[in-house]
Amino acid sequence: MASSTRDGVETVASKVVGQSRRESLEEFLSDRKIMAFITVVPATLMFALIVAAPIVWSVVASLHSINALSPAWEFVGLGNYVELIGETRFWESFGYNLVWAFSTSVLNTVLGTAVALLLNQNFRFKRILTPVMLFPYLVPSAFFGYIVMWITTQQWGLLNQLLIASGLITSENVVAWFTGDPWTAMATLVGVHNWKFSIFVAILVYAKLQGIPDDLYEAAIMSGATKYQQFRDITLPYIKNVLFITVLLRGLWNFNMFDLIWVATNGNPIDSLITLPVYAYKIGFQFQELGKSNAVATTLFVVLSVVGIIYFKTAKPSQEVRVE
Amino acid sequence: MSTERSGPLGLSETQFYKLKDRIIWAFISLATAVAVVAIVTPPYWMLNSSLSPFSLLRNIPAQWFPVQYTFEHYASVLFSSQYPRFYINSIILSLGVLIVVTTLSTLAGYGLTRFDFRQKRNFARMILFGYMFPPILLSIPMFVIWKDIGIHNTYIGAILAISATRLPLCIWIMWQFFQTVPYSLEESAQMAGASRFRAFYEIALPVSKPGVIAVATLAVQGGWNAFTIPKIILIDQKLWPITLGLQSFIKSSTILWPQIMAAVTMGMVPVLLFLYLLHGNWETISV
Amino acid sequence: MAHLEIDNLEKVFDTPDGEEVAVDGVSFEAEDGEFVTLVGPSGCGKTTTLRCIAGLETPTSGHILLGGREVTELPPNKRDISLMFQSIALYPHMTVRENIAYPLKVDGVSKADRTEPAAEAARTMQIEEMLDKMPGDLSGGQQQRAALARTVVQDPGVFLMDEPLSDLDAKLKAETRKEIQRIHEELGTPVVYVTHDQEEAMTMSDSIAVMNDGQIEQFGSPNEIFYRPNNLFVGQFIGQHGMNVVDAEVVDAGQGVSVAVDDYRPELRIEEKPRRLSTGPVKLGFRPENTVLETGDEHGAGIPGTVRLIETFGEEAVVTVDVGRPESLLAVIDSNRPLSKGAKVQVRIDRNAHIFDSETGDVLAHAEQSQKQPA
Repeated sequence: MASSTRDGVETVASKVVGQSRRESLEEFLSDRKIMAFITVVPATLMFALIVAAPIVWSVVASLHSINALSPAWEFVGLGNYVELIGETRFWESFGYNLVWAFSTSVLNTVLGTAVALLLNQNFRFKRILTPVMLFPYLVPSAFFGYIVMWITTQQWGLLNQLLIASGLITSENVVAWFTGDPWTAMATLVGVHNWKFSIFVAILVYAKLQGIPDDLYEAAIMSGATKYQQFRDITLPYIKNVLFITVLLRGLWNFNMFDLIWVATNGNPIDSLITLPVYAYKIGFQFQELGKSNAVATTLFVVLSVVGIIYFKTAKPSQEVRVE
Repeated sequence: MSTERSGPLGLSETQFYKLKDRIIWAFISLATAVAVVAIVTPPYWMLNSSLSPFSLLRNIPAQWFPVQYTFEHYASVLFSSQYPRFYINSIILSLGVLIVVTTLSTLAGYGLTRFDFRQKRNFARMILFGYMFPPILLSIPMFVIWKDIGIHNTYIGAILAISATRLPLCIWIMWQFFQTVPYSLEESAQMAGASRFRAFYEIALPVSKPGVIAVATLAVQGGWNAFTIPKIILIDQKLWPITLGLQSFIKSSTILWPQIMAAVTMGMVPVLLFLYLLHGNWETISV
Repeated sequence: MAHLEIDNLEKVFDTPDGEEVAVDGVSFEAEDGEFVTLVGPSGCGKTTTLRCIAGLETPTSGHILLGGREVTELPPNKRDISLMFQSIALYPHMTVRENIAYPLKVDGVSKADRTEPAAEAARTMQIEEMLDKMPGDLSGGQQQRAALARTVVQDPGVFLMDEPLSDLDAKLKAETRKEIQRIHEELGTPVVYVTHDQEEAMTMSDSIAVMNDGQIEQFGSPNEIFYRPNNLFVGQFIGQHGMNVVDAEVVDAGQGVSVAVDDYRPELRIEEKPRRLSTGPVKLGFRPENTVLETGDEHGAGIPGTVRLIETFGEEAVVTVDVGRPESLLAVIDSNRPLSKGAKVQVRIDRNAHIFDSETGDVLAHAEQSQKQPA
């Protein structure tokens, strides 16, 4: 805006310059291409850091013998893989790992769905109970790991104390949750794992359940459907996809679980709990064989990619993105 | 006045169905009660153990309720351990992740919604694929890369690595969120004379505040929860967050349980804040 | 088929702000084969009443009798009723056939035995060729028919319908309205129909319950409700253009009742003079259809006013006249009549008018010059 008085001319002019500098910056930023660039490129770069770089690096490193303490890389070709394949340890881990991943993801999904269904009822204290019941998912795995470790202590742990109090065992023959029988150890961790990770499923399923229109249930009620029939004919078809996704994602993440296992067993898991990631960690950071560790990681990338392909072929999650 | 038909069990029809309804509700209430007890027990036990005098911890049977309690373990954790340092480190990591993730995901979410790209669908796939990556798989190769570029064992290295694991989910959320913000709002601002960039930060950004809050919460939570990445990347104990630092309460001869439980309890305080911020907003994190 | 009796129904909801009385002592009866409509503005309790009858809500007190049987607290599926929803509520993941056959499925009818009744119901609703499509592929009208078929297949003792037409466009509305009437005639099952649209209520029903604030203001045939409204609310709510209401004064409550609106003394013929009528202020209500605009300026020939707005709908036009009172008056006139905005007119009551208590709004007397069917 130009002022008509002579005295005002100069100040207005200088303001115009200042403003136009800012405006021209904004103008520059508003250019379609520039704006597209500055919004998307930084995230894409970060992205390259997560997906592309580690994969490539891992594959390359897996072909070398690397000692964590010295910078020298010695090319060994497929040597690390050949070594891994020859180890019973590796195959045992793989087998235990599959059992672990399958049982946890199925249990997570069943229990999580049950919690979601309970939350979806109209009970009185819902406003208080919903956050209470969803809270475990936000608790850091490491914190939970320490609580688990404490609860499963042989002499004074809550689990054994409860069993003693209920008369199921005596204080002489307490259960060694993580240090005795390998299957007991796995069953214990599978059980406590649900405390946090069923809730992940519950959150996903609950969000989906809330999207089911009430009147569908009412229409079914008017048709005479029982609670079970309502679940089978309305709820289940609606949450089918999300259940599939949770089984897949949880299966994948549980397969790769490290933190909870590591902490709950005080960094010394019994054989049945050495999942491949734990194995990779031990090789890399306890035995300092980074090349071999990366060979395990590369193997896991392959497993991940297979699951990823199944995920994209069947669940088609990216179709939910509207493309302008 | 009315004829009440008789139902099974020698009850009237109304009484029978009322009874049936009650039984169903009793069952649901019971199941809910069981779930709540199962969920509340571990944190309750944590709290109880952190407050119990050391002598009572090894009681058999256990001291179920805190009849006698003490704050000595809290005092010992706060005043004679490295815990405050760990706490500050956790805060630094979380804030770093907050800044990186919130900025990048908000910008990317906006750009992906408002601008056309080739391969947009493949980009979406890539994000979801990135979302599937567990931290352990990233941190092993990352350790090697970070070492080469010299940022392992630094806050920056850990913040970048943790951000990388949180970013896909947050980009996805912002992408979904901006799709619900009508472009016409910005168009009308542009018609009023605002530049496109200005329309973005004066109109689109404030409107998407709920999404930004959700993303920011998830970012901070990601930083607070991180264990695997700091464990591999941060070697120096002075840089450890709480999740790693708890290990220092495990001595070779003994484990300081009440101190660990007191430390975990204090570490839970921000978790309650996350719960408050995400409460009522759960669907945002369900991809 | 059954006789439905609602006796002193009351429903109180617990809300965070305290108790909210949604239905406050509603009683009415639907004879076998009768089409009863509950009509009223939103929030008047009509839908809650219907949901209590359906069993989706349990009443706080009162009774619901179906064919003399106490069903007040029975679950919906034990009541022998069906409900058609405002939102249609077709199951999106089932085909139209599965949708229609669903009530039979939960009844335990075998797959083979439920095909025929479902097809039959679809034939009745003329959507046979849509049976294998998904609800999402159907047009709005077809979805409505499918939803209706699903209620028909249940062969209920009473049909309940909760504003089934409110989401349709005008043409479909008229079509589906006829369809519902046809089904009602064919099956002879009583219908309880809820709507906020008085026109729907007037054209479809045998009896109408006009509701307001959780209570029934008037229950009667469309004719009664239109010509003999119980109170101001019913008078103003019913009728295409509502009702003009002006403050007036009874100057003679004797044998020849005489009412004055300022200097205008409309000629009213009260057939049966109610006891309550006495001299003093009243409200005078008359329908815009019974309002005549005179262009002469003879003093006392009508209520003098100025034309403010003329809205033309085909043959007729609705004229808004400012008469120097808070409320302006409406008149329906022939759209060919040369009248323009700003013209000085005299508003005269043609035939029917109603005298209401100026405080309670209850009707004191109906003045009718002749009785005609409503348009």
